Order: sequence, then C-alpha cells, then structure tokens
Amino acid sequence: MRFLNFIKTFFRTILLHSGFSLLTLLGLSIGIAMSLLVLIYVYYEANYDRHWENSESIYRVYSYGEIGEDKIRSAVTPLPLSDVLREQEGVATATRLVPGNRKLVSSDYLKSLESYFFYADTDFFDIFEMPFLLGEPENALKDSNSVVITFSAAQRLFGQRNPLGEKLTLENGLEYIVTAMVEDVPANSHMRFDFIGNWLQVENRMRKDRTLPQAGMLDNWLYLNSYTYFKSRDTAAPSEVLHQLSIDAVQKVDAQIVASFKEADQSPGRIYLNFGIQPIHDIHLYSQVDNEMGPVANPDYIAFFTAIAFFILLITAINFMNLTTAKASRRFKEVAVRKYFGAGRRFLVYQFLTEAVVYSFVALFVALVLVELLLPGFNTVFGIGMTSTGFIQQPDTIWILVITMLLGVLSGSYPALFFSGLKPHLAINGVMKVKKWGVVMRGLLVSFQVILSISLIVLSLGMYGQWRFLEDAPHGFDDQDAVVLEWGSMDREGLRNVKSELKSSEHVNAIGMAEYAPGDDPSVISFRSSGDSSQVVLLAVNYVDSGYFDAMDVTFVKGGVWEAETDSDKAQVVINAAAARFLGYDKNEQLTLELVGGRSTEEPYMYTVAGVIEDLAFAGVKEAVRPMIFLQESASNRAEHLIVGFNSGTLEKGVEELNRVWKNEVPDRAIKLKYLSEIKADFYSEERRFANIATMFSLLALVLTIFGKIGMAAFVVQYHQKHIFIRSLMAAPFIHLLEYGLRGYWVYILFGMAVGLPVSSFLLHVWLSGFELAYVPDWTTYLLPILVLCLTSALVAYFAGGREIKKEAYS
Amino acid sequence: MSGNGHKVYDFEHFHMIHTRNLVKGYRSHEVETPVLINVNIDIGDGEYVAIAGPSGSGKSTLFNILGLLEQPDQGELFFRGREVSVLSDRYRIKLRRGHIGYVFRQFNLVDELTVAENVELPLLYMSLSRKQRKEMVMESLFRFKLDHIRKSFPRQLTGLQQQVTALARATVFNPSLLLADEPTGNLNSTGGNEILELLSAVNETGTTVVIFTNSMQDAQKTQRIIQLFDGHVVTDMGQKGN
Repeated sequence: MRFLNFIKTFFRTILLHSGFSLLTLLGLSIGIAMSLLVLIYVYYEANYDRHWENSESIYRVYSYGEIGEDKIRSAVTPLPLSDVLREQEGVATATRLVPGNRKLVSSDYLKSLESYFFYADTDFFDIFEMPFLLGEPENALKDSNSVVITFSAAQRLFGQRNPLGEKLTLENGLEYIVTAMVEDVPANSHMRFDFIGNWLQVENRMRKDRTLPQAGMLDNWLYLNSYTYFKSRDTAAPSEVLHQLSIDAVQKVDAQIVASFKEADQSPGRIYLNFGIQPIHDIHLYSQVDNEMGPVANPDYIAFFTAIAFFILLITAINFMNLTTAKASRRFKEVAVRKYFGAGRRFLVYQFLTEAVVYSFVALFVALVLVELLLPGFNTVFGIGMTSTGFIQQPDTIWILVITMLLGVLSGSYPALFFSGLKPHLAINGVMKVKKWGVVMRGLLVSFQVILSISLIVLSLGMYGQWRFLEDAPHGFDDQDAVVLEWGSMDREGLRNVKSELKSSEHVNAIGMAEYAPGDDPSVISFRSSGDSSQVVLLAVNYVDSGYFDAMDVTFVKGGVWEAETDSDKAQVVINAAAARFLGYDKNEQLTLELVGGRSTEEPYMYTVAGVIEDLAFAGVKEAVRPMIFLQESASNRAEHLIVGFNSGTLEKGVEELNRVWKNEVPDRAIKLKYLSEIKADFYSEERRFANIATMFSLLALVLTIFGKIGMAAFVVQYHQKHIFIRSLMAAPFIHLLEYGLRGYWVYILFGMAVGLPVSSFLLHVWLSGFELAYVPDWTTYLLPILVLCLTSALVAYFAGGREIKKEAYS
Repeated sequence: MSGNGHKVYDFEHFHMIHTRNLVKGYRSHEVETPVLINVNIDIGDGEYVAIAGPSGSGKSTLFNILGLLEQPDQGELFFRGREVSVLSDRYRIKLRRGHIGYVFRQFNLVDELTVAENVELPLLYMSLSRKQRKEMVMESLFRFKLDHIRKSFPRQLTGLQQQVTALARATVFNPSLLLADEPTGNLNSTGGNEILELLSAVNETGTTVVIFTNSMQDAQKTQRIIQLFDGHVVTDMGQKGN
C-alpha cells in the first residue's frame, strides 16, 4: 500500500544519506534509551513491595507520640500491640517482626556472622506470601523452634547441602531447625531478612527467666522494638481498623504510663503514644518515620527523574525535527513531484508522520539493545538491582510503545507541516528558500537545549560540591587510619583475645570496643535527670570501653573518660554535647541520670556523668546529632565491634596485621571489617549517587545538544547558501565563508548561556536549600559549563558547519 | 453560463483549455514585473501544441498556471469547460490528480525510488487497488520499453532513460492533458527527437499534449505553435477551427 511505499522511501533515504540519517537515528536511540533507563528506575522505585501477593491489603503499624520534649515517629511498635490488632474485626491476620542482633549463626558445617536474623509470629508467611523453594508455607513456622531461611543464607551455612531439617545454633544459645527455604527477598522491598525464626521460642525463654535484660519489654507498651504488620479483610476499611486500634491500644498505653510512674510517685511529664497505619507499598516513598529497616527514597527525586525523562524525550524530539529538516532541500524535489501528481497535504502529513514513527520504532529497537548493554553500569551508578526483563514483562510497559508512538508523532509533526506546506512549482526548481523564521525556530530550540545542558551541568557540579562538603565537614571523630571490626553479640572472650593481641602491635595506636559503630542505629532508652525528675529524655545508648574514645579520636569538652573499669565505677558514663544541651548540663555540678525504661527489677539504675564529648555525627552531618550516652561495656553487656586506630600512615600494614591476628585467634570465621572512612562515605552514598546520575544526564544532554547544534549549523548554512556561493566565486578564503555562513548560529548559543546561568543558579539553590548544611557554590561551578559549551559549539561550527559550507561553496 | 456559481465555457464542444485575458506578474521589492499580459489561448481536446518563446517570455509561468499550480492575477482559466482560477488549492489538487501529467526539463525523478516505483507514484494518490496499480505500471513500462530497467534507480540511468521514465510516470494514468516543460532541454538531439516522437505517440492515443520550449525546431514537430514574447501571445500558427 501507500504505507509500504513510504516505508520503502524512508529506508532508502536512510541508506542514501547515511551520515545524517545515522546521526538522526543515533540521537533518537540514545534519547529513548536514556529515558527508558530512567523510567525503569522510576518504575523500580514506585513498585517497592508490590511483589508480595495481595500487597494492597498489607499494612504496617507505626508509633507516634511524645515523651517529654521528644517527638517520636517510629516504625517500631510495642510487642503487645499485635494481640490487640488481632482482635480487630477488619484484621484477617497480624504478625510481629522482631529484629535480632547481628550474630554468629552456626550449622553443623559452617559458621557465619549474620545481620538479618529476624523473629516473627507463626502467621508471618500468611501475610508475606513468597515463593518457597523447599518446605510448605503452612507448616513453616508451626513449631517454636522452626526457622525459615533464604536461598543465599542457606548457601552460606550449608553450601550445596539440603538445609531442610538441619539445626542452626545462634550464639545467644537458641537452637532452631530449618523448616523451609524461600527465595531471597527481592531488592525492591522495604524489608530484608535472611532468617525468620519463630518468636515464640524467644518469648518462652524470656518468660521463664525474668532476669534477662530484655525480659521487661515483653508486656511493656512503652518499649518500641518490633515491627507490626497486618492483612486486612477484603471488606474492611483500614480507617475503621485504625480508629478502633487507637482506642483499644491507647487505653493500654495509658494504663502502662500510670503503672510505671505511680510506684515512684513522680509525674511522668508529658507522655503519650498512639499508632498509625501505612499501606506497605507506600513505605519506600512516603514513610516519614524513624527506625526503618532500610533506606527509604525521597518522592521528590522520583518526580525529578520523571521530569528528566520527559525533558530527554523533548530534546530528542527537537533534535529529530531539527536534523530531518536541516537538509530540507534534499527532499524538496521528492515532495514537489508528489504534489504535482496529486498528493494533497493530508497524504504528505501522513507520509512524514509515518516516517517519524518508523524512525522512532527503529530507534526503540536500538535503544532496547543499548538499555541491555548499559543496565549493569546504570545499576552501579544508581546503586540498585534492576533488570530490563522484569520491567519489560510488565503488562503496563505497553506504555513504552505508546510513548514511542507519541514521540514519533511529536517529532514528525514539524517536518510534516514544513514539507506539506511547500509550493511545488517553487520547490521543484530549487527556488524555495530557507525562511528566516525557520532559522529563528531552530535557534530557539538550540537555546533551550543549551539552557537545559547548563542547568544539568551546574546541578551536577553543585551536587558533587555538596557531597564533598558534607564528607569534609567535622564529624567529631577521625575516620582516617581506623577500621571497625564486626564481631557479634556473644563470646566476648574471643573478642578480648583479639583485642589484647592487637594491643601489642606496633602499628596500633588505640583500640576500643563498642556495641554500635558509626552508621548503626543505636537503641534508645529513656532516662530521667536527677536534677529535674519531671523530665524524661530519650538517649541513644552505646556500650563502650575506655579505649573507644581514643580509637575514635574524639575530643572531650568537659571532664573525661571513667578512670578504671572496676565494678564500683560502672555507674560512670560519658554523654555527648547534644545530650548535655538537652539535659541543660552546662554547670560544673555533678549530673546523675536514672534509667526509666526497660527495667526488669525494682532497683533503679543510676549513672554519674564523668565527661562530655564533642558531638559525634553517628549517622553523618545531614541529620541533627542525637543525644547519646556511652555506658561502660562489661561482660554482660554487648560490645559487638572493635574499633582499631592505627598510627598515621600505617593503615595498610595494620590491616595486614589485623588479618593475621584474626586468622590465629578465630580460624573458623571469616573476618568482617570496614574502614571508618568507608562508613563515613556511606553516610553520603545518596548524595554521591545523585551526583553521579546528574553527571550522566548532563553528559547526555551535552551530547544531544551537540546533535542539535549540528542540525542548526547545517540549517544556517543553507539559509546563507546563495551568499556563500557568490563569495566563494569571488575566491573568499574558507575562514571568511565559515564566519559568514554561520552568522546567527552563535547568537542563539550565547542567548541560551545568558538565560541558562541564572536558571541553573536558581535550580542549584533550590536543591541546596533542602540541606541543613549546604555549601556555597563558587564561580567555577558556572564557568566550567560555559567553557564546555563554547568549546563544543566551536567544534561543531568548525567541523559540521565547515563541511556544509564546503559543499555549498565548492559544489 | 451555468447557474451553479462556476462559469462554464459555452461552446458546442468544450476546449481542454480556454483562457481569457490572463494576467500574471511578480512583485519583488516594490517593483512589479509583468510576466503574462492578456493571454488568450484555446487548446482543444487531442491537440499537440507547442508554446514557444525565448527565456523570459513567460513560458514557465504559463506552464504553472495551465498546470493548476499557480493562480493568475486576473483573467479566467477554464479547464474542460470549468473555471478553475477561482478554485481552492484542495479542488485544484483533485483536478490535477488523474487528469494532468507533467514532464520537466530536469526529469525530477525521486532518487530513492526505482523506475517502476517512480512510475507508480501518481497512482498512489488515486483510489486504486495494489493489483490495479501493478497492472497499470507494467503496461506503461512495456509501452515505453522500460521493463528491463524497472528495478534500477534514477542515478543508474542515462538522461534519455530518465526522461522516458518521467514520461511513463506522467502518462501511466492516461491523463487527458500532458504538460511538458522543455522536455528535451537536458538531452542531446537524438534523445530529444526520441522524446518528441514518444510525446507524439502519447498524443495519438488521445491525450492533449502541450510542450513548452524555446527551440523552434522542437516546436515545429507539433501540430500547432503558439509563440509567446514578453508575456504576450504573438502568433498562433495552425489553430484548428472549432
């Protein structure tokens, strides 16, 4: 049909004018590939937790309230909450998920330090339905000693053996039998676990032995330490569940507050606690609570990336219009002939739209190949694990075809109108002149591209600047020449042996033990100041030894570390400056703190503050420093890390030594160590990630802008065609022709730069205003993009423009 | 005159073309240059006519006006009895489609299409099935002895072959009028003669053929010569009476 004729002409045009056509196709393909990658990323982020069966009826309960001056919004909830939840009419089933410490897990064959051991109620897998590789979901957590493990955990602990029925021993003495193996939790889930052990075993143990430190939390409504999920009944409105839950649970909370504070005959200050619910798929993008299991994303970034994808497509379409009509005269004859023989405007519009759509689909094919090739690199830059197949198999990816179609129509609209409006008798004799408004239109499109390029380059330079600025900000500890050794929560003897072995090393400068290393999320306990008993404050608690402060190289602003680690001095503690400010501790008097939460005995724990350290940015400087208390580590407590500070410049040798000592002392376990500098860099991984992404996009925008400029140069030369020819007849030198032939080209580029600078400065400031600590961009941030754009514009003018001029002048 | 708003040329037999006082000029930079001045021409069905004149005599403008590509500034143009100078672009395209064939001095074949595809091009815009188009193309290719090069592209052909292809394209749909603008201008004398013979053969099938030329030698091979000079019709030799 006619359609086939169009397609035939299209492919032959490509073959006949391969250089320019390939440039056009390449521009389209790159644009589509990049937009696709961004859309795959947006899709990935927007589909967190959609992989669970019936994910739309799964909800998580979170806590909010106030304790004294502290506002709480936390993903963790009290342990007794799930019982109240189960009684609600609209709730089909509920479960708790209790995070366990990082611990050494042993099978009969292998040992491994595991960070993702969780405990849950029997009905966990009724809510989180996932593929079982071995075992049955119904019986998976039936017995109190059953545990379900993931495929990768099974590989670490059993190698190639079948794990079903095998025993796992935890270093806290609990024993579990593997009853099922599931697939690893997909990367786009808000939770990640490797083991789900039945909580009942832990609970039974606590009920039997009330002296255990955690026993007090079992029925305590003020102890927030477990995640609570429920599945709603089909008929139930979640708002009703929430309403009734608030009434029932708050009653219990209030009763607990009265009971806790009545004994001591003290006013509790202002305390309240309530609960909210959130659909599980909203957690990743919209949850704004503390104590999340993993990092959550900022929905603004998703909007930002969607906008980027849109702009890339827009630039791509502009380039297409620009490049297909830049060599317009080449097709004048064909269009004129078609018009002579009766092709109306409609036919020609149809022809050029068909061409553009076919171009887009060919480009889509090339783009899909590019996506497949680029995805691994892209995953590294974005720090995630996307697959194109996962994306492409989704039914809603039919939108890719729709978008490609629209892109084709959009790109083809200008050529279609441009060509169909030609006067055939003028075009056929070459009398047709490139019009001034055509130059202006293209010029403005190129200006727009320049504005976008400058904005993206300035933004990415700004993002890099901000990232470096945050990393270089004072953190209250020295991250150079220090490493953190992960141990686990049991067998402290082994850890002490490693420590004393290392102490004698000539490279080691200081060595300390700590429950939490920077980057960990320390548990929070409420204290009361002895000076002001009406105030309850929440302090992050870290158990450390006296060497910790030296190993971290922290500065004391008042007092110092406890003198000796004897039993009588156990009550001495160190707090950070934030805690001192919080407690109003700025006089030289003695400060005593009383532990409020989590008591399992009647005897109150009292602590004396021995020293105050400078604020320690435990989670980086992006967040306000939490008030923190450092308690003395002891055998019954839980130092899980060794922090080793080496003498300056001996880090490498020191780490070698550390490995050697580890091999001697702990031959059956692999060493797990992290450089403190690495931990610090991780605080800003998001900034680094976005700086990388922005850089990638700015490079892309730059490439697409170059394409746009090539089209513009070719068009401007055509506009000056006659004058170039006449001047060349008069033997004008090439450089003169170049200067003349590209008149107008620079105007639009300079205009784009002039508008782009204030626009980019504004965007950068908007972005930086989202940070509490932000750097001040200097003039180099703006100079570099200008230089890059000038250079690329000059190269395009010389090579692409020059080539066209030679053709016009000497042919 | 008819009563439907369009004037109808009131003869016992309609002429293919009838013009009355055609005037056309071009304006550039405030200077009006007259190109055609009061041109009156009648061309009957089945005639073989040459419109001859030197460069600048207004031939090309007349070609465009008679070919329904340009509108005259003043005067009337009747095509098969219907006044067309007042019609909109859309109607004139409809009239051109399937009725008028064009041959140019520069051949103007579409470089990206083969000989057969070039010949098929006018048929694409007519309501014809693929089969009908194919048959018509083949018939035309055989008629002009182009079948052996039907898959070649224009750049692979001689000038004569290109012009024959253009002629095949212009006549594949059996137009009632064929306009040829200096059809021999880009050919040597042998090639030129061959094209004129083919044009004569096309005329013998009933198509009205009008060639625009500055060569009196070419013009003399037609049945009637209308001479243009500075926009005026100066002589009209061999007009048949109506």
